[in-house]
Amino acid sequence: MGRAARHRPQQIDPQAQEAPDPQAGLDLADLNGVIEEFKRGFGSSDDVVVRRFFLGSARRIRLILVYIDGMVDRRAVDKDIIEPLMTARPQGGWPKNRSALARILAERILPVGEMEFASNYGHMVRRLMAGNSVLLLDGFPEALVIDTRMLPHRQPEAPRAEPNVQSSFEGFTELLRTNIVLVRRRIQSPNLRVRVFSSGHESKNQIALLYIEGVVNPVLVQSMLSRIEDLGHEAHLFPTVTQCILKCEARSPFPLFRNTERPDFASQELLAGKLVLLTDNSPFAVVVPATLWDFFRTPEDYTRTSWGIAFLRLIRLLANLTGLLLPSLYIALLSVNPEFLPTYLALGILALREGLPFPPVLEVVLVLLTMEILREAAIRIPPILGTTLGVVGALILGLALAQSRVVSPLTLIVAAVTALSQFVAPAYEVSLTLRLLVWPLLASAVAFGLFGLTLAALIMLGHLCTLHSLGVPYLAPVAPLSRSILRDWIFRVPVRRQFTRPEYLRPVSRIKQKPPEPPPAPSGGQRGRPPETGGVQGDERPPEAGAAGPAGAREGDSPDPGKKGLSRKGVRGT
Amino acid sequence: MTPGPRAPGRSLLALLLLALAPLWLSGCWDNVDVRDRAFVLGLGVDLTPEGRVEVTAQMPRPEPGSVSVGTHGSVLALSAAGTDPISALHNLQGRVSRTFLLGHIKAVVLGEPAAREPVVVEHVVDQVLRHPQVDPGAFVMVANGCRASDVMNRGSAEGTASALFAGSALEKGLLGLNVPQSEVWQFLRALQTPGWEPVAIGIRCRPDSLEIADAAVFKRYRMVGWLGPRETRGMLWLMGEGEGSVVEVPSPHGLGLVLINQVTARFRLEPGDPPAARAQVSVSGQLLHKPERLVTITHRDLVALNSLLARRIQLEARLALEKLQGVFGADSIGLGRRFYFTSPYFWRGVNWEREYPRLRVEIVVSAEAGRKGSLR
Repeated sequence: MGRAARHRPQQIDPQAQEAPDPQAGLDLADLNGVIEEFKRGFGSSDDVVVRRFFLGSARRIRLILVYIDGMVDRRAVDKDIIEPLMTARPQGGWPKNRSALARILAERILPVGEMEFASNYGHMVRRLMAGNSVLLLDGFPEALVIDTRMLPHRQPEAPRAEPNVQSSFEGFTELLRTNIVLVRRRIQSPNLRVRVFSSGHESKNQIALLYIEGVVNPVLVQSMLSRIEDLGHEAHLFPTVTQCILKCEARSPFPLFRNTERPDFASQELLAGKLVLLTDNSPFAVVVPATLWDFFRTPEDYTRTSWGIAFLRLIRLLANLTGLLLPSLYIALLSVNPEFLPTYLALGILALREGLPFPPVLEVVLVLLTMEILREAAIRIPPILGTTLGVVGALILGLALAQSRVVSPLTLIVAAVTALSQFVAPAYEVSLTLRLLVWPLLASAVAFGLFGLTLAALIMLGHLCTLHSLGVPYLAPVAPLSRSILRDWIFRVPVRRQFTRPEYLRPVSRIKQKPPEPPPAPSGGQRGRPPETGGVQGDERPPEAGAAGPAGAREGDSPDPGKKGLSRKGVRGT
Repeated sequence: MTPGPRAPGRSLLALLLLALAPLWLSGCWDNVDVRDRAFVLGLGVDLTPEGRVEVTAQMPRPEPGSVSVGTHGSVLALSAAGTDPISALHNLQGRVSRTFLLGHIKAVVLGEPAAREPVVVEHVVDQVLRHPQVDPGAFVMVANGCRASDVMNRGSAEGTASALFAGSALEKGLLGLNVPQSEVWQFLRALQTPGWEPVAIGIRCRPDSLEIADAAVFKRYRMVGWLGPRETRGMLWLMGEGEGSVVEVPSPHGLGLVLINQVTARFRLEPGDPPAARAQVSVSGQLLHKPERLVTITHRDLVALNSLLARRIQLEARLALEKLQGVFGADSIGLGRRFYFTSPYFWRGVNWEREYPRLRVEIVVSAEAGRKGSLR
């Protein structure tokens, strides 16, 4: 049952199946020919196991079982395939007809969950390379592909790139099937569609497109499908390069899709009407379309109060603006427009800078470059040496720079605050974008001061306005302005009051959850209520009282008041 | 109709023009590094016995890692003379290795002889007060009884550099200062507005400190005289200012002190020959100290005190007006400006220089001083 319950890819590589197969003419009924072809095709690959044996006790029906060592469950191969086949003794003997024999093997002898017939050599080899076992029956022109996959993988662990405090500690793994299950476990709806494609001539890596039918805008699905069909290279060998599906990435430094390691975030986005792309061998899901504000949201945002989240989102936005603008602003104010500094601050800075060898611009460039080097080193350095990096970077370098009076302490503070602020964004790709954009802004501030900085910021804003992610404006719902701007932007209304999905996604079903029904009218003294219904409630109400008002009628007519109450409570508590 | 494809050249050209446009502005090629800047905090203008203009610039002393920012010891004042302020400043620049930055000037102080010389004041206005770097919020001051260079070379009682002391005290509107707010923009606006004369803040040199007091009255580009403390405060009442002043109210029961919280002044103008005006000054405040011989204070006592307070304020306003009209002939309150705005036909046919001293001004004061605690 375990393997039988596994997700079965719905659609695998339609293009590849239509492509001309060089071994299309090979007869699978000729076992010797097939073995020769295996030897020719796989050469000296020692991990390809070809097991020859006979069916039952009779030594007249030859079988060949082929699998790749390490990709299959050896116990399943021995116990569920080889043993039943070698020990089977049908009462009426084996039929002469090979098709009937193959049907008996598939339906009565082999206790495996998934099985299919491969009619040509190419199809069979693709299944074999995916980790299935292939059973060839002498004289039968098709191969039985038996699912015995057991690929090496790690168990779901806490997301490394998106740590959190108060939400799920489960992250995606490198195994596509596991990742799909992690999403399915959160969205137990038959409307969740999973379409699997494979791409790459040699790698045959699999991509799964997930969406919720009846929620997502079909135009988005079609757009994504057409982009996937345009592929066909080795683009997906490196998992996160799935992003090249969105072709405009090279034109903008801003990420147009959200990478996430978190199944809860991916599920949440699916429910909002977005698409999720999962790639085999990648622990990251790609969420499209993405707007700029999506990069400042986390799944935790829905586990806290609205006020707390508004504060945190504001902090994230301000921190990112700080990370982007602080070095440029520092240089613009210090080098070009010092008259804008408050006098006492200017005098303090002047006193700190007295006798320093470098101009502020060079200082900032030096310190920011050092920070970048430290950051890259921190990623590449083995964890066991992390402490060394901290000591070298923070203690020796920082103290030496400050005490040797090579760099102003204020410049170090600016660089440190900038580096910290750039890490506040929940999405790593935004942090990279900020780090990248700091340099052109710095150049504009050095050249033209505050004027140049303003000009560069305006150009950047203009560029943001032109961006689209899968056809959705990148700055939505702010530009174009949407009525739902306050629903879940910086400020978020309580989840129980979020009745609709975002307008800019144009979902098929805008209703996310039904608004709670109005509370039952209180008894007695209610303005506008007929006096005869006053003081009568629930089951005690006579049938004619239900006609007195709509609210009363719904409450009174409910066949199961307890169930109805539970439903209402459920909506409120969501 | 679907729009046709955009010509790629147009957007490229627009981008190119946008990128090249700032080249006409100042940029990094004429930028002076902050290390090579001398932040001028205050500027003093004096007249030498030879008739030349002497400019004294107060700037921070270059001290690595100085922690006593803004103190008198952390600044130095350098002087140089020239034919006018800008040439004096150029001469001074020749003695300093750093380029002057006038953007942090807190006070421009004129020596009294220089302030009484219209040509010098005109040069100061054109070359210093209108300088693009000078902050319009800096204060215009006149040294009372000493040279402007003395002011620049002196610190306040607590040791703050004079320019920063003046700027800080006036920006915060410290209690009891009783001087008009005369920032650069206000001084220039008064010069440009018909029927309004500028005033400057007085600053006195004490043996070991400085004191902000009095007001220097200007008539166009020439200083015509001083208003004493009571007259300055009288002028403030008529301007609708003077919050924070403490007024002494002498009564038969002794001396009471009232802290003024709110002042409003409204004018009703009567164009005619001679023209007249009625000033309605309303003052409210808090009784800080009751007259000594009043054991307890009753509502009737408070009404009597309010009457005395109003009379006192009226007296000070009358003193200021008499001096401004009769002695200086300078409309520092801006009564002419009010006629100019409210009765343009009258203004067109009137010679305000001649009419202003003849202007009859009736001053009506209503005062209301409250008291914390219970009344009997």
